[in-house]
Amino acid sequence: MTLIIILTIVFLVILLLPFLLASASIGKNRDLKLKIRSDNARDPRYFAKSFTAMMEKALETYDGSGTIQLSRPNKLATAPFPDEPIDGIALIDGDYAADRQQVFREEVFVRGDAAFAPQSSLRAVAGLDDVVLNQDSEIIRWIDARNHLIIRKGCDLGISATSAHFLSIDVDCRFCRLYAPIITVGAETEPTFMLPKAPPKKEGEIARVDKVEIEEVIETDLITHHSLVIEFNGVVLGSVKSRGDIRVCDGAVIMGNLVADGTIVLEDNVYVGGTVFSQESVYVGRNCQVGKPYEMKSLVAQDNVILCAGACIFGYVTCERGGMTVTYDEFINMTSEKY
Amino acid sequence: MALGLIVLILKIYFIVLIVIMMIYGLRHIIFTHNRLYMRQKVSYRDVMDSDLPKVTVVIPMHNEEAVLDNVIESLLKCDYDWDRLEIIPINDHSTDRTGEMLRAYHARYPFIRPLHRYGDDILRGKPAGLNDAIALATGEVIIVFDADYRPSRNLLKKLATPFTDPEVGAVMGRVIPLNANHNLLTCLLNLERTGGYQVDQQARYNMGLVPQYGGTVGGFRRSVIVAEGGFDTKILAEDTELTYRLYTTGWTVVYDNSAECYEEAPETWAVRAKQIRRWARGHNEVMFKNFFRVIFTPYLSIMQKVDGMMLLLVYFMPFLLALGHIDCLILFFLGEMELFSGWFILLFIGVYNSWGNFAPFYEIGAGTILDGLTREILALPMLCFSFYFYMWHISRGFLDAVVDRVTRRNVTWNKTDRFAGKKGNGAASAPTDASAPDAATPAAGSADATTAGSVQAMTAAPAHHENGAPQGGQEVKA
Repeated sequence: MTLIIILTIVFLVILLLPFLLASASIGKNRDLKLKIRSDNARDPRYFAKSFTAMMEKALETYDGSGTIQLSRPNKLATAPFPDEPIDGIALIDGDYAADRQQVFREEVFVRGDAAFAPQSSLRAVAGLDDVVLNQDSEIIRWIDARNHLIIRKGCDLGISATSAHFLSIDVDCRFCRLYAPIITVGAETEPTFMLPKAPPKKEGEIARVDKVEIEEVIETDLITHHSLVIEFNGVVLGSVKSRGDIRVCDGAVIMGNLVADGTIVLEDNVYVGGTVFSQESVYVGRNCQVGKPYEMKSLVAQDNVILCAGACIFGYVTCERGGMTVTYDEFINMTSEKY
Repeated sequence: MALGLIVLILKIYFIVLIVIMMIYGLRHIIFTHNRLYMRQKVSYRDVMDSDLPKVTVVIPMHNEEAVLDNVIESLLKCDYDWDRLEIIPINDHSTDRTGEMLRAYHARYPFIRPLHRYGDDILRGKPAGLNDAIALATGEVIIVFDADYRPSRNLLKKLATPFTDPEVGAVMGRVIPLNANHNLLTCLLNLERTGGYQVDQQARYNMGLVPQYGGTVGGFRRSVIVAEGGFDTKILAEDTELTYRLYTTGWTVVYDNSAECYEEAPETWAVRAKQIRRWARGHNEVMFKNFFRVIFTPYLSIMQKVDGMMLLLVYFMPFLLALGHIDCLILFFLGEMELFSGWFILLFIGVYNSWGNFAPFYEIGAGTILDGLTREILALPMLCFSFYFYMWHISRGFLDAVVDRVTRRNVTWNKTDRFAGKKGNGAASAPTDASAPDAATPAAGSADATTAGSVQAMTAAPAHHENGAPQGGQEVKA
């Protein structure tokens, strides 16, 4: 009899336990846990702007003690710097040109022009004028320049490399996010822009084809559920969407956006007036242009972005699995594997 | 002989129903697996574009003086360029200060262009109001909010950016209950929403299936709805109707899980019953209208058609299940349950409850984990109590839709009861975080349809638009 009572109690406890726990979890006094951040607006230069604002404010009251109060007290190192790694936040109050490899383990704040020596390692850099990062250097988090940002060959750009005016990246560099009104690959001067003249697209119509023939002009948006090829000098006046891959051949022009669920390959001399968006990877060939002056457009890929020397982007570049700048020969090798 | 035939039919029905339930269950398992372990699509929110489309924000309102400041002030704080923004609050037969307040806003901000709808012969309800607003709108993209919502600063950009894709006809954001901690019902609704949005909608988007436009915290292309002749004012679920109209005409719907906005969930079972019955009625009206269109459209893949049909039938299943219960009882009393043993009925109920249509437990479990709501997951067993509640009211909604279809009757719209601001309300204890809607302000609801047969005949008198009415705004009169 005792066993029956015990088993009955055990049965009831096991039966009711989920509901008892559930009742306990429902209470009026708990905070609503799922919060929506309502005040954030996207800014590709957010890291640098936020850090610069904090530094400027802290430097107003800096007493020269070697410790600066940001969100917490930080050691402050000022130029000239020693040969060994610099642990505190580095303040460069003017122009700076390093003559030897250096390691900065905290942020670097530069009030003038700055050029870091080859093979340097920096956690983060905020420059108020031009910044040059020489060969084979490494950024752990971000680098930003209010004027020109020049990245030389073989650098790793960490999470973000941004400029308020102009960003030049040489080949063999790796990145996650790039932003500047003008981004060039392999050229340190502003490029000659393509500004093709074209009539506006026809509204209310959609072309549904899998191929744009040589020098054919599509006057509307183009949507296909398959892979798409835009042949040499083909023109699309509207935007393009493919649920497969998109291959855009030499000299083609897309006046609108280019969106694909697969990989997008832009071969040489392609012009895309709008945003390029891929759920896989994007390859941007020699002398290709994405976007146009004075407008911000994006180049977004879930996997990789490969930028060939000679490419030019106006705006924002981001990818989740890392981007790379390559020489023309490397670009040909990469894309020839696909076709 | 006749009895034997009846028994055979009942047994076949029983078995077919279980197979259907298992198919739905498999679908939800696949969605959960996709959300937890498979590749997720990159969101359009990563796109930064200086040339986003002009947006018209439409806000249906009826006696919303207590809350309209919240939604409009929030919209004014959005980071969308004002020269690309237009706000059309639809003052639908308000009898309080709503019209007056909207005129004051118009005087201060010319891009706020209220639409005042008055007159006995003016069609009431959200679809009719939206049609009038769309006719006046100048934006390429229409974004719809309810009056008690408070969009976050970047929400308009998140909802407008996907239209850079020329195939996107509509965008859906995520709705989060503000009063989730108020009582058992709101807690369960929060769980359902978590599973429904965080897992179900996102997985369908990831898999290229049929994510659904939900009618608020979402947007659509104006040109598409204009070309299609506007919303069907005889259908209560204008959002579902738009979803299927888009998919069957070559457009697609994008879901953005990060485009979040608070809403107030119903706090009493009576209000929830009314709401779910209306949804069932509207959804089934859409099902009747689109059943064959989904099958024969050339724009959907096989998998999209399968998913589209399953979504279309989702508010029909509880009625089938109710019939299944009757079926079981008949078989039991006829002594014909040897097909399955009696305990299977309980299992059957459990299968539907866990694998059924209302964000089943593994979807909810995965959703709460992804949201970091680890304590809420404990409330999951309570979902079993809402099972019969939903089955009853959704079945009634289905029967309403059948009668609508047969009699071609019209529907009238009433305002849903709202709770914010009432004493002891969960919203009053909402987070003081800047993101939270103003907890102390009573909210008004969106339009809700009466479900009784006492529907008011609505004349099809064409609406008359008077632009530039005195003190701002537009008037629609009979």
